[in-house]
Amino acid sequence: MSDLPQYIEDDADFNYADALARSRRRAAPPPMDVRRAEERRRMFAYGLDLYLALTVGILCAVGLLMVYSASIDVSYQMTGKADGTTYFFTRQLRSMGIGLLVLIVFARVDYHLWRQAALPLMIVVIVLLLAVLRFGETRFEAQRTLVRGSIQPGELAKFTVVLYMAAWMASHRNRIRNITYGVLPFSVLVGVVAFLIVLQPDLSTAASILATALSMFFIAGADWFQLIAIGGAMGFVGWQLVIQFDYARSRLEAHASAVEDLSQASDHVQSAVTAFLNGGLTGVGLGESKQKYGNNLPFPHTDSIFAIIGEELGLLGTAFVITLFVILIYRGFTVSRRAPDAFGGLIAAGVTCWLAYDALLNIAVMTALLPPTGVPLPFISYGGSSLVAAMGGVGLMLSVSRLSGESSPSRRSPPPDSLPPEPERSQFRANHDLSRRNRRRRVSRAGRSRGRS
Amino acid sequence: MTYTETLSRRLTIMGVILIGISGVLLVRLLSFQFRMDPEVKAELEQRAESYYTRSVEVLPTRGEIRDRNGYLLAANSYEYVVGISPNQVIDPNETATVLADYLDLPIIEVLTKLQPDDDGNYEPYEWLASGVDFDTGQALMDQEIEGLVLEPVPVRIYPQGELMGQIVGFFAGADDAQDRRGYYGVEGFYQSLLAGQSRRVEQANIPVLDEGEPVVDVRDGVSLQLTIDRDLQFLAQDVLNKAIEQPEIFGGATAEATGGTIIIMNPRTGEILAMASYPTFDPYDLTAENVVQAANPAVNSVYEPGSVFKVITMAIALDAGTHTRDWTYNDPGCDDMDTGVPICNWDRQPRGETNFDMVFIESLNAGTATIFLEMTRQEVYPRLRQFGIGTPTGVDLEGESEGILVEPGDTLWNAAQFLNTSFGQGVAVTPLQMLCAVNAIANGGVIMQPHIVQARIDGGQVIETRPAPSYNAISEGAARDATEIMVRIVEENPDIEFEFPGYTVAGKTGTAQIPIPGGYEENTSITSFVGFLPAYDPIVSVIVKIDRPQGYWGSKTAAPVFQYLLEGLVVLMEIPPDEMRVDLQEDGGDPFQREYWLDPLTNN
Repeated sequence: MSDLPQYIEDDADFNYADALARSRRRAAPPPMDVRRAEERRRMFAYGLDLYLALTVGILCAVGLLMVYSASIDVSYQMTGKADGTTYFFTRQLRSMGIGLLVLIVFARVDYHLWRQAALPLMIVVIVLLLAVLRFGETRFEAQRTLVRGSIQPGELAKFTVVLYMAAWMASHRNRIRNITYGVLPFSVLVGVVAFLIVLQPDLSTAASILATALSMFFIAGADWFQLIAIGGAMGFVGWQLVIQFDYARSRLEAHASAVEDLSQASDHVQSAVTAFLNGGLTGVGLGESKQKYGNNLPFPHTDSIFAIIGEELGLLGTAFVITLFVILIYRGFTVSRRAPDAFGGLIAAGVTCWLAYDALLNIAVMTALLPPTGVPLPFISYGGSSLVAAMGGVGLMLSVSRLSGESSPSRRSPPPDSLPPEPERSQFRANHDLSRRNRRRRVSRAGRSRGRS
Repeated sequence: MTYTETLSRRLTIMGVILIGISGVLLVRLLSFQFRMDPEVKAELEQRAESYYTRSVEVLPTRGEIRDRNGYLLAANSYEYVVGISPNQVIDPNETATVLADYLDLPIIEVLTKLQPDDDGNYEPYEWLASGVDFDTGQALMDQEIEGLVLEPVPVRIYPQGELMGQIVGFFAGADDAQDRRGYYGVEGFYQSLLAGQSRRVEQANIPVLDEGEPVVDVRDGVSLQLTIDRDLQFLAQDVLNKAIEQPEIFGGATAEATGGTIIIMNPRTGEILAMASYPTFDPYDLTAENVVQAANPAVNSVYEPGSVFKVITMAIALDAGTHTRDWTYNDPGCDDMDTGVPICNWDRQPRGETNFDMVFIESLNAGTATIFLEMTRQEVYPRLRQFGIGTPTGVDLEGESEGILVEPGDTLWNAAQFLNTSFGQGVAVTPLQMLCAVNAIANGGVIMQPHIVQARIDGGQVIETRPAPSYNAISEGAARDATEIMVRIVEENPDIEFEFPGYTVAGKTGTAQIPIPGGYEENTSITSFVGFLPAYDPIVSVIVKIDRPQGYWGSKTAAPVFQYLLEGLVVLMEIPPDEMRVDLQEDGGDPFQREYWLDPLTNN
């Protein structure tokens, strides 16, 4: 018995009071030189909105993790090989690399540069959308992709519409309440883009674009009458479209009865709700999802990834993701408020609305509140185009936040009461705009088109 | 209100709206966990469960069939359904070349299936070939072709092919493996035993629930060991084929024969050692015209046995005690015996005063009819039944016929018909029934249950078939007398072309006309020979039946075929000549207790 180690029963030698006291007496850090602190902030954060960047970073990390977990079976089905389970994960990783590059470049470049690029980009997008209708590949009963499914112009369109809307409304903000200047041109261009997307047919992307545009219009200062008119017109056109397109109508009708009684819901929705039920409060654990196998839940790595989060991480996981998006909305609007000019503010507000609408639409579909549509969950769903576009959008927001940080010495200080009117700000633009061709606006003017007609 | 204030205010409104929607979604998620209708919840869970697991029928392995020495007669193997997933093919040209070579298909056909459709989409699966044999399938597997799908389909193989076709039967049926069954022969008779019992098990559809291969105690089929001896079967089949296809060996007497049957049995145990018929059945050829051949004529087709039946007349007369070998009568040659139908000897010649033995040695129809007349029908029919005439033998082969025995009270029965039965007309038997009846004489009056399965092997357990008597046909004394008369028939009838020096053989020839509606066919007959040897210590009994030979008489056709068969038989079965056998027995040995008769499974 004496060979056994003896436990120390009494460690009276240890002085708790000393230990606690010592820790309290830790030396305070030396006061940092204000200039050095500023320099450091410029070096590392460069005036970026760190909260926003951090939120997006966490969303992307959760996304990668969940894409890997959710795509195991679909990867296997795709490749037919036991070691091919990382098929979608590696592609998502590649897209995220590209997205990160785009984000960094967009964040570093002055966002005013985009003012000139908005109209050409819009034309490119319309051409791409036309190309999709002519040459696109048909997947899941719709033509939405180009180049063997790797490019979805619909996602690029969201980005471009926000940019174009911001540029246009910033330059017309004083006349925005005028019906001719305010409503018509906006309606025509955005309407064309939305119509082309509807033709694919991809009603959900079109709805997301219209909702984003309308929200920006609202934020930019449209009066209530305009909003009601546009909203009413959109509602009427949307209703007509739903009636015209059988697939949309049948989905809507099936959905109406399903919101209350889930046993009436479509297979997809029932499978998603089953996933939430499987998950419970804390989830079945990462990688343990049962619904992701054998197409029990369709598109587990894209449209349905939120349900897989609910199954594997439980209510806590889904609440965490929703919280992240709420923080994103809050910080996005904060950046918008502090923006140095109307263009930047509208860009930040537009990107925030776009990402928020996509996320809320996706989650609403998964929780059987809206009829099934194919909207990706930003940053989380598998999909190169949507990820790169979203990260590009965040890049723009960070660029806006960076410049607002530069223009105001303290981040806490309120934004200037009124921005100088647009023509007087050429000096400001000349400082920041690298382009040599900023003599003229590159955005279309409603006035000219009226003159021609 | 400045522009910035407007912007700021509207941003606040927008933010409240968006965050409010987020809140609604969160509430909705909470409601799934806490406010879910239990009925809907149960329904969803049940629906999900049906996706997670499926009910699978695990098929048992069908039992094998072997001959008495362990040679495989029926076994299990696989063939393959070959398909390909064109979307996984790397080099269509090379793949098509290899596949076309192995599957014997035109390259262009394979290549066409590997091409995408007009939209550039590849099919996930294209069927290439079915019924690809095991070796080719294995070779294809070794090629490791990308996208190749080999689906094994269990099949039955018959290594002895046509030789055992009618004994073993065949295994076939629906495309679905669990709907297949055995037909005819042993496969048909022992279907449920061979098939075993399948089990339904729940199998996971998804890997997280998969716990590896389910442990199922499927009841595998029982394997069977037959009493058939492959070598004897080959001998019998060979002799029969020669009789019909090379009649010159037998002096041309068996020419033009259309078919025949040879059965070799052990009269002491009822074991069927060989059972050959012509034409044979190929178990792999399941066309309708071939499947007709699958019915084994030895147990399935009935014929009028003719004079061979006289040994039964002889045996029941001796057993009944109404007649002894001292009995004599005056042979009339032809006489209607008050029935209105004349009964004639084969040569229509009167013999005058004739004794009991001579009736059978000379095969006199008038004599046997007289015996039946004197015995009366009350004595005759119960004794015929005691021989198993008109009753299935109960042999374990599918599709046995019971034969036809017309008895008093039946519409076809009349006095003439009764007397005709005494020499094998108006009564129909299967070759096996006839041989079993003769076995009664060989085996001291007891008919042993004829059987073809020697042992059932159920895993490690061996259940042997014990020889069992099926009829006590006659007394031992009557059997002894009948044997002596049968030996005299073979030795003393000058017309029987049979010579087998060194061995005492008991036998009887038969020539039966072939009944057609309203009479009998002209100039054609079914000839047969039944016999056993050694006559006074029999170990083997044989029936040779030949249909419609040119030689017409049993003594000229079946008898020489029997002799030809015996020449091989005594060698294969190691039956010593009488002298040697008697010497052995005097020295205290038993000539038949040799390894050949040992149980091949346990060797004791």
